[in-house]
Amino acid sequence: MRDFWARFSRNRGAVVGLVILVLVMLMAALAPVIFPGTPWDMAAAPFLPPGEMGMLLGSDSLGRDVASGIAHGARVSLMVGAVSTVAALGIGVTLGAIAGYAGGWVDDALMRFTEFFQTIPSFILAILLVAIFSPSIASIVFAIAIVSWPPVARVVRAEFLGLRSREFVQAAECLGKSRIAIMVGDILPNALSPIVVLASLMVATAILLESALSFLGLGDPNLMTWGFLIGSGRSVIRLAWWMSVFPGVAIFLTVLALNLVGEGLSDALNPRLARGRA
Amino acid sequence: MILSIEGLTVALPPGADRRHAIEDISLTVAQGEILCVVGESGSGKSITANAVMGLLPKNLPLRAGRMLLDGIDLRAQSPEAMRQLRGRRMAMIFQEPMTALNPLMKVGDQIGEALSVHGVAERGRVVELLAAVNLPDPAAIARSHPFRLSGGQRQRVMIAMALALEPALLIADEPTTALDVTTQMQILRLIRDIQQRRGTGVLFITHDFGVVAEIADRVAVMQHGRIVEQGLATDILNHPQHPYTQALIRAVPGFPKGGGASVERGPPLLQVSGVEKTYRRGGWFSASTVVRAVHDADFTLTRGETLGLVGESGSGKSTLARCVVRLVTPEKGEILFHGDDLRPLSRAAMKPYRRRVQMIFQDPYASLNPRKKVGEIIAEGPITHGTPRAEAWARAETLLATVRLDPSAMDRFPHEFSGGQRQRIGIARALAMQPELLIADEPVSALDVSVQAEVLALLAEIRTRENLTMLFITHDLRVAAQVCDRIAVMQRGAIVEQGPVGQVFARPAHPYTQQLLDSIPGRAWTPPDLGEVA
Repeated sequence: MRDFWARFSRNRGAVVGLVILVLVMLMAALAPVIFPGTPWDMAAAPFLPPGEMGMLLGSDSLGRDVASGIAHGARVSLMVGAVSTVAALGIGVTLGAIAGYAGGWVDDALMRFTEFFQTIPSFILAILLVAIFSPSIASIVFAIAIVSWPPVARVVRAEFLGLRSREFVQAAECLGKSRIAIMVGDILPNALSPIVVLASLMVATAILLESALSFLGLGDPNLMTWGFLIGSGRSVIRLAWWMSVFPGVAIFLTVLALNLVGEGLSDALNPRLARGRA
Repeated sequence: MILSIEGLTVALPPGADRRHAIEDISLTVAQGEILCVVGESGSGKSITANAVMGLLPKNLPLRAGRMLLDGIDLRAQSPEAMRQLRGRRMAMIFQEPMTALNPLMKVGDQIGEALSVHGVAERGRVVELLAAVNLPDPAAIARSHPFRLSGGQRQRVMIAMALALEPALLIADEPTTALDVTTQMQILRLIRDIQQRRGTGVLFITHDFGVVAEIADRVAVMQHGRIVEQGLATDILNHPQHPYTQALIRAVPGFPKGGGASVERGPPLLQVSGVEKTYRRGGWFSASTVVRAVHDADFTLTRGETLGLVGESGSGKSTLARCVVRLVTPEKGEILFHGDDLRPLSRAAMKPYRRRVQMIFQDPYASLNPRKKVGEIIAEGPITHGTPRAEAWARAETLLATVRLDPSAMDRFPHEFSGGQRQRIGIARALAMQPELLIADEPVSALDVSVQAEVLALLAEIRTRENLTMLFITHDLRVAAQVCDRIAVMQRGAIVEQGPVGQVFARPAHPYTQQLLDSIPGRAWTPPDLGEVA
């Protein structure tokens, strides 16, 4: 574990990313303390530029506090990112593991099924799913999970294919362990590193997808999100730039942080593949 | 003297298990002489070779010593001068002929390149060289890419390349370790032949005393980076002085002396008959290639006996063994275990038999799950079959003692152990199931000789104590002769001969068996009886 941390911290970008990520999480956790009350309340006059009347990041067209919106929005954005990633991992790991372990026609069938999803542009499919199931937090998470599992399935399948012919897996077969015990107990722990790295990047993609959906007005109408903030500010961007810029910066920093952390994890988990960094 | 090395010392990076990779190495190679440097892995023999070639990695600095090649001080040479010397005056053959050739370049062009970088016209020379290493149809070989050639052919190409500029010194770093015995013999004869014809000095690195007995004029034995004994091959092989040399030679399995006293045969434990396994490769639209991995390989195992399955790589011996444990399902045939046919059984129906048939694998680095602790690795089999956890753990601890490992090993991960120790863990895992039949797939071929001897002794001891029946797969006839009661020789998927060890060795009936036996390196040398360890 100490080893792992040493290798992770050798990548300076990853440490910066981790710090940003922790700050964003703190902001999300402390949102109700820093900004009590809902972010939907009118707190000041509309269109106040940042810094005026106690509005740190200005106010929007209805006099709502943008800073409060960003802090509360962080909770929804992070939650959507995490939950949809977990769901996508669930589907992708299961299908990929079965395909890679079973091989033969099972593998063929599952991979054609995966390719079917991969051929549809993911954002269009996500819009379609949210539109069909009516915008709500559950349907958004569902849609994001449905469009982001195929890469997981492919990565996991490749790992399983490589590992299942290894001697320690054959030894487990010889002991008479069940298929599920072998997949979960023997192969999966050895395939974990690429999955962890992939997951950190998927959280970033999911946050972007959710923001894009909210921007188009397909977000959950009851929840304040970063995408909604940008979407509502877009029509007045020349009048009140702060309404779109600050949520945009929040998305940018969070996604960047997740990518940096993902890269650091990748270096730490596969030390031999790490690029030469001083 | 072509090569003389005095007091050569190479440092290891700080934090390694010893300070110097090699320390105070002094040796000489005369013209037309083969000096074998023998030692186990990590003894520094390859470092010595690389130091001479000027190919040491940056983190292994040369600290002291002199190296003279034909009177030229190698340490005083500039990198450019060293480059000129490499190839022209000294050349090297590597262990792995598969990776030492550029896969995208035709063989002839690669040899031609070796000539042209040293400014020698190549026309005609390439084919001549390929002919000199006894390759059939050298013109056609020169036009082939490396993947078309077999391992032995590639190693010949490497030798041809090394000889291209007629160097005075040839360094061979385990050149036959990756090859089959019959190919190994051909390569050894080739090296000997070339060295006698051209008077080349050869520095030959090996771990195998059979190979030493086959070709060495003089021998240097290395241990922990030092030369512990050096002298004429006949002296060292027959009258080793240093305890380490004695231990190494004691570990070399001898040949059976008896004429074939057959074991008393009881009721059969395992009967394999008519088993066939065919591999098909090819897509939907391309013609498929068919490989008959196993056919005509009937054998019977009697309780308490050990049958050796010997053959070269690709002979189907591992596939046959995997058919018995059902890691591979054969298309045809019967595998009768106590009269029950295992072949058609489903996964669930097979489970009770898993307990009774266990397997030990070849590669101790790949056969243990790197993410599991040793205790769990050993105990999980019995737990799967319903043994209570506490009981399985207690038993795992006893088994660790049986395979002579410390009980504290339970809480450690496999990577903390050496190859030999890992192989013991693998044995303990198989024994935890209390099997009747143990299948050992090349269990010692990845280990150093002395470790190999320990593991074999352990297997023999367990076998007699538990009255185990064993199917022992190996490519090493010396090992087979030491361990087995009976031997079955496999060639291209079929068993061509089987019988008691003494009989097969003394009166081989099949020409292929004869060829295998003739290929054992150092056949003429019988390891001296050094008695037990004092």
